[in-house]
Amino acid sequence: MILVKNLKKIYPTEIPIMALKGVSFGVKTGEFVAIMGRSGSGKSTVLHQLGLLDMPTAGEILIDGVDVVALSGKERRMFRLKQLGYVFQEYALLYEFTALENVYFPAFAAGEKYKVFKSRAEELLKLVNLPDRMHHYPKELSGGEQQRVAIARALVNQPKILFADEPCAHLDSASSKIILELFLKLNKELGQTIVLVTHEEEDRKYVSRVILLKDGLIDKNE
Amino acid sequence: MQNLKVAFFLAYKSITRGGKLSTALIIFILSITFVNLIFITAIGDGVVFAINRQIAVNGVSNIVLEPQEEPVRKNYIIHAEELERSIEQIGGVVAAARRYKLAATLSYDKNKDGKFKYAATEVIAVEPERERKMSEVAQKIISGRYLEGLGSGEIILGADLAGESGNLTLTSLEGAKVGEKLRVTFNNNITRIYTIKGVFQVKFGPVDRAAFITTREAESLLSVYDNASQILVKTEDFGGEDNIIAQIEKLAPDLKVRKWNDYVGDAGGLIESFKQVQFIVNVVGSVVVAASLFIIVYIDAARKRRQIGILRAIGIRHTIIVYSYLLQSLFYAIAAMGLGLLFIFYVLEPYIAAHPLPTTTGAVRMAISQIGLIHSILILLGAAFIGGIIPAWKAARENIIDAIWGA
Repeated sequence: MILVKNLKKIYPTEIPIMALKGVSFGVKTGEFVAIMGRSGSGKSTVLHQLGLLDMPTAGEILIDGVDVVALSGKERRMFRLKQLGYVFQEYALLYEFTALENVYFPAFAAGEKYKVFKSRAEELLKLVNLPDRMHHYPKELSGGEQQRVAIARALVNQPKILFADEPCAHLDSASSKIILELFLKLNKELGQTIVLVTHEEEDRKYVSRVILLKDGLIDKNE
Repeated sequence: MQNLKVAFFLAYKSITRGGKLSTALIIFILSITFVNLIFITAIGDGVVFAINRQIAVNGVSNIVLEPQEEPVRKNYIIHAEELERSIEQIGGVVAAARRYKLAATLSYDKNKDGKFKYAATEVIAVEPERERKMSEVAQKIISGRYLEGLGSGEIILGADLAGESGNLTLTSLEGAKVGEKLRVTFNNNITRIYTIKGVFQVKFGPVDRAAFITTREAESLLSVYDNASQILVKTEDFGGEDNIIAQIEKLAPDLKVRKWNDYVGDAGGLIESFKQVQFIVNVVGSVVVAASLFIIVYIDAARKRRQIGILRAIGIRHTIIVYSYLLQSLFYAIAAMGLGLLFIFYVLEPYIAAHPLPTTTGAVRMAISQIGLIHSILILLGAAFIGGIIPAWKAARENIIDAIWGA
């Protein structure tokens, strides 16, 4: 589970921006939680800290009891690679890789055997309903397909938690529905813990809980 | 090892999925620089080789014996013919030949109008038949004939001294012709009239500016017999001189015995100049390669800033990203090397071998040495390493959030 205690983030710009002013919440294993809020509320900043992409200015983040803020750079990187999955807002695929290569690359980097990671990547591409697009390059895929490949990639190392930062922001409603239903399926059928950042009110229906942020503070945790 | 495998995979994908034209252009530009590095080095070495060859072949042969200097300086080597024969018994010696060296002023009345052209030069007295084994003078007669037997009254001139084929130098007689008369005043104030028997051209300035007469003629001028200013020794191989010198020193302990490379003299300056040129070209070449790859990697890393951010967000170690760029740089360098070597060995070297560069020291060809080649390869690889690693390191160290979202 995730436990966030008094998380603060100040961006050291010319006029320092206090993006998070002391955020505390928890996410249980197997939960599908949405962090919502208006633009500038700090929801993506929270996800960056939880996903270990950035260092908080103050506060604690415990993931399965591990104080990830206290980890060394190398430990954070390894934790990110093996324990966390991250789906970015835009189509963040490696454009020189095929869909299959994009999916298996984190497992390859984690030192797994070729046969193992290739077969797992193929299974995941089947899971996201792209079995016939394995050898296509990102530019040959639609936005929704690219985002499904990104989800498969985020899952390849069997992460404890899947973070998704507005994954449907650039998708049409039909593609968004497919992605969100996929998250729901992963959560319900595989028990995947998912933390989703979104600003779409209608996404509430897919998640089990919503943490609402406002001006860098938790407004509601319902 | 795993890191290297991942880096190799990244580099492989980047090269194979990158623009084919731009890859070809990068390799082409680097190969030109590489060819330039090798060409200048090889031509420099070729000039050095040509100079050394000329010194050893037409200048002083492999080994030179000179008169005693200590405790009393003597003008000549005495009993020279006997010493010649003894030296020729040493294993590895092809021939030995004595010479007299005289300073003289040559006067030539070209238009037969009493207006003489003067040239101060060195007159070398040789044993014509033995000399055939010592230098190329006998084979490089461009007009007239070579000296024969013990004949006196005849002289052969180097092309630069005669002023043949437009070779007008400060010591030129401006067109002295075979069959014409030449007045020679030696430094012992004896003046004799000689018939120009031939003109030679070995394309080595110090020899082409000299005149040759027979030893018998010199002995009559100097009132000596069986002496020599020098005895030249031709050996079977370059590099084996030291052993032969040791044996000669046992035969003639009072004489000064030197190897051909002690006579590099003025040519040494030229060799040094070429080494400086090679150094400058190497430095410029390294900078060009490093700068080219720096720009290539810098632009590529800037273009892939977000991709690098994504790689790092996934959890890829930044050193893997640096290694991947390094491998790409080395790939470009190695491909350029391959292309350059093909061009050098299948186009440039055969062409220069067929059309050697004419110089005052003779025809210069590319002398590609293993050391020179390895040196150029190391320069290219070193420059590729530096050019590739700096921008890659900078890009891979950037904050993940900044790299992905372009802050």
